[in-house]
Amino acid sequence: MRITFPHMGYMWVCVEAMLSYLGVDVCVPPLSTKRTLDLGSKYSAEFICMPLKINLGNFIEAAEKGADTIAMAGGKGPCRFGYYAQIEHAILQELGYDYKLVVLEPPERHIFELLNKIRYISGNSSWRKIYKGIKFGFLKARAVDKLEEKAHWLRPREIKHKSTDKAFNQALQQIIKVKTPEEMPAAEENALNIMEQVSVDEQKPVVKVGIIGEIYTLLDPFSNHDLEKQLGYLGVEVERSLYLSEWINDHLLMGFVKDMPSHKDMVKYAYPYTKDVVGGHTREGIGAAVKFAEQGFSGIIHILPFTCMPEIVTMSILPELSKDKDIPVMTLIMDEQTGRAGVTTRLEAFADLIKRKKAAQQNII
Amino acid sequence: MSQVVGIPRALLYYELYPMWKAFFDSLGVKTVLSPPTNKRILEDGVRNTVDEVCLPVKLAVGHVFELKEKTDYIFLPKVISIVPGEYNCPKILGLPDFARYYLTDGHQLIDTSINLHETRRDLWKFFSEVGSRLGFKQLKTRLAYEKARRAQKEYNKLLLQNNYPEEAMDILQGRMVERRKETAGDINIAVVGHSYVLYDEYINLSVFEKLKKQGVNIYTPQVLADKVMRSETASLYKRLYWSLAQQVLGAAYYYMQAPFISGVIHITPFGCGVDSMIGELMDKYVGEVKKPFMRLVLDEHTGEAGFVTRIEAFLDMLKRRKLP
Ligand code: SF4
Ligand code: SF4
Repeated sequence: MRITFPHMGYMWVCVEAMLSYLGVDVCVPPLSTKRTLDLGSKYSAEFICMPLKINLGNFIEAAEKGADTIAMAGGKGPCRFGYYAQIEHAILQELGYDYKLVVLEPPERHIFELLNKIRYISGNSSWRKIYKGIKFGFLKARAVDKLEEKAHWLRPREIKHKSTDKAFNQALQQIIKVKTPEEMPAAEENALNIMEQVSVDEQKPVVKVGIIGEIYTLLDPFSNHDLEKQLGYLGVEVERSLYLSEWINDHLLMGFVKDMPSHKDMVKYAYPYTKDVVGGHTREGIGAAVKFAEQGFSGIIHILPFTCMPEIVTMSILPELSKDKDIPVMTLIMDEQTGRAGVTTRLEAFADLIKRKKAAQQNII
Repeated sequence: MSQVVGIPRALLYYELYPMWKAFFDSLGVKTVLSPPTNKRILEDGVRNTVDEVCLPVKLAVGHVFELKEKTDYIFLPKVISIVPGEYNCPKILGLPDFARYYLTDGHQLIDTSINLHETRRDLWKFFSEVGSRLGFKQLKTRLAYEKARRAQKEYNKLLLQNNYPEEAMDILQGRMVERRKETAGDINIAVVGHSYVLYDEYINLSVFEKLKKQGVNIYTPQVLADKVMRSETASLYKRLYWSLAQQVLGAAYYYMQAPFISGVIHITPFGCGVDSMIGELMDKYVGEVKKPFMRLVLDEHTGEAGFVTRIEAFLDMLKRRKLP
């Protein structure tokens, strides 16, 4: 059994760590490229959302490396993600790939439902080992999240162009190479130290933008054309509504880890706009947008894949929120035809707009 | 009390209106239904939604618009789930959250959630909330609720007897209906899709009329018992969690195997997320059973001419196949 899984940003760092620790033969798919997306688009229907297309491409490319089993998360609706695994598997079958499928459905009642599946993949490791494995993966996810947050602050202030990216990649390597949970604290410290070395101009005026939207395009630099980096280079400090470790904690671990932001806090902020289930991360996104606005951010960027159902609802609510809170909002819709240059142009225009708006406000005061 | 509640003729109207209507009637609340979709409703809907929203949801906003001058309340419940374990499409769930912005001050939206995801018993919770919102006592609301449920049962029965939704509604309300004159055509075709697409002639460019003129007998998901459609999708690897998609896919599967059906047409709105998923499953099955199949994608720009051409080409193909 050679297990593969879909890409989503740096998620592979945490999944690979957990599975390898449990002694599983893991096959990380080649990092997503245009070829990946092209393959996925070729074999799926036009209106299918882009993350599914990328997943599909990942699996085709992983099969080329010898993977024979897919492990991925499931869901219970109402958005499409909960049915991804099954549709992808059906398409792969039709194409003649003989994949076995293991879906890690979010536990409905008890976390043991999930643990049992993980135990199955790991060839019946002991519970203690499984607990440690999950924790290990989770620690890696959290460490990477911290590095990303750090980079968000550094990038707009860096003195040498792209020095943050360089440090980030080195720091990331520190996290990737760790083989046991015991080594994690030291590695994390080491990685953060590397980031500290980036020289910055603390006086440099920066504007802050909050990014909200659909989780995949939010977390995956390939599918959002390096949104955060591009903004950073433009002197924009970004904050994201959602991080990988938070999603794992909320979606798969049933909020097991207590000392971190949870979606429950976010949805409260969304109350004036939406109170009940919509699906996906609509409530969290709207809540985050409200929070960003109240914290004095200069703008909000909303990102979603073409045809994404819950985020189209978000998109429909945002004009009102933007008016109420007097905060500019820009929406980016991504699909296989979205070109990088187009995204860059729009980001430049948006950064310009909010900088001018901020300057005007300061003049009045 | 002279409060008037407006009900938009859109989306789940085709599934649940008899229940809403019986409920309000029993309480003595006057209701106004928006007219069948027309050009103005379409334009209002298109103008007041973001481009990315699908046509059925745009129309729903248009219908809300239509009602706002004439009513005190607009009834637009947030229909999260109507079958335990299942949901509706996120856009249907989110609609009340943005339709709200188009209402004038003092105008109220009844956007109570109806969520039977856990248990059917929560239907009472919904009705009792609506009742108390309108100022009725529990007991009176309870009676209205019982009537509402009965009406819905009756309605579902009438649908199975091959009445189109709006005909069934007329029969329920004791309005005489002239039976639809079904000229026996020479070819049987199944048309599958969401009920708000199949039965809104304005959206679907009167596709039923067009087919009938060509001598087609039409079969829809609504004439199939829920049980039948569900048993068709029971073999899926995982339960399909959108109730309306159950109907569409279940009916498609059923008709694809039915020997008396010559071909299947799937009508889908541009950009429909739910249909994109079940479309994959449909296509896979079409490949296996080799039944002629066509998908018509609709949006507000769909032109009459191209639409007719495609239907005619499909029928020609079927007729040629039928010849020895
Ligand atoms: S959130 Fe949007 S893009 Fe993601 S699976 Fe759901 S519908 Fe698709
Ligand atoms: S199911 Fe499709 S057509 Fe219906 S509201 Fe959702 S996206 Fe629109």
